[in-house]
Amino acid sequence: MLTCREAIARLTDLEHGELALPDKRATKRHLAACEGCLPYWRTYRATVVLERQAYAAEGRSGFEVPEDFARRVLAAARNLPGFLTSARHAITLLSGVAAAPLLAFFLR
Amino acid sequence: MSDAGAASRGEASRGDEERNSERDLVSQLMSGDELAFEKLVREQGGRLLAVARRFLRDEEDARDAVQEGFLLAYRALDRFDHGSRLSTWLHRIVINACLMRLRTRRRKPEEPIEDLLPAFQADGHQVNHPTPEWEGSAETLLARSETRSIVREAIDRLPESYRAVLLLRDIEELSTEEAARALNVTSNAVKIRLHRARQALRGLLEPHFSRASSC
Repeated sequence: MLTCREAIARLTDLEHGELALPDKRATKRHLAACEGCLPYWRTYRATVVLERQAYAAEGRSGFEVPEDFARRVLAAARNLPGFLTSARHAITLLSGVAAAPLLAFFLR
Repeated sequence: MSDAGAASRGEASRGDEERNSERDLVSQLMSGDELAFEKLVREQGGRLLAVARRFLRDEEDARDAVQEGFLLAYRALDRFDHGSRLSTWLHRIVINACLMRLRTRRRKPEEPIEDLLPAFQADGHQVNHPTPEWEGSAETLLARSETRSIVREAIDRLPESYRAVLLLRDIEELSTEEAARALNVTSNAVKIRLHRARQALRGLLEPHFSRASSC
């Protein structure tokens, strides 16, 4: 029979399904029979559920981007090489459109 | 044609649409299109800010980390693997930016967590028998309005090296290997820290939720 120390040391692996079958059986046998470890196991499992749900409400409420933050990131990005502001992008596109007939004429 | 088959084809088609739309967005971003970048910031920024706030617990630091993440992602777009999701890739970049900030913060000596872990006798049996049961199941406790804030406060009380592992593995759902890479430690170290972090958190929650404490 495992000791409490050995059984409790395996709790995370047990929860993650990472124990070999004989180890899993031996661990569960100890946990079910030990009056100290059984409530410890239950409350350990409850802890994992609680912490995984601790921030879940944030996900449901939707994530708004603060307007000042969005503007700040865009302003910082405009300093990056190769980043085209909307106006520069439009000019690039338009110049491409304008250049196409000329290019076609010369390549004829 | 079965309903299940039609639903599954519908989902697959939505998945294809999303992938195509993401591919378009990435090529627009690579051409330096500001509107595409703005779309990315508006679609992903809020979720990423929430992630950064969890790690850094400081609004201005969180904003700096997310901004840095967007700019790093823009510069590294040519290395983006189209097999993965853009949102997942950004998520990992922002997490790395947060961990970098945590590393450069002035380190406070970490409080030991041994008092929160179970104690054992020389023969390997627990010292404190029996462990008190809690007032209800996790689901029952979650139905109470104050539970989530109690749990978040307890997570914040964990020493930084344990809190980071717990957030990476259990909240941000990184694999053991991904968390190990992000923290620059071995997978085994992540497993050990996660186990100790969960045990310490259990110890911090016990006074709030155990039956003995409510009497």
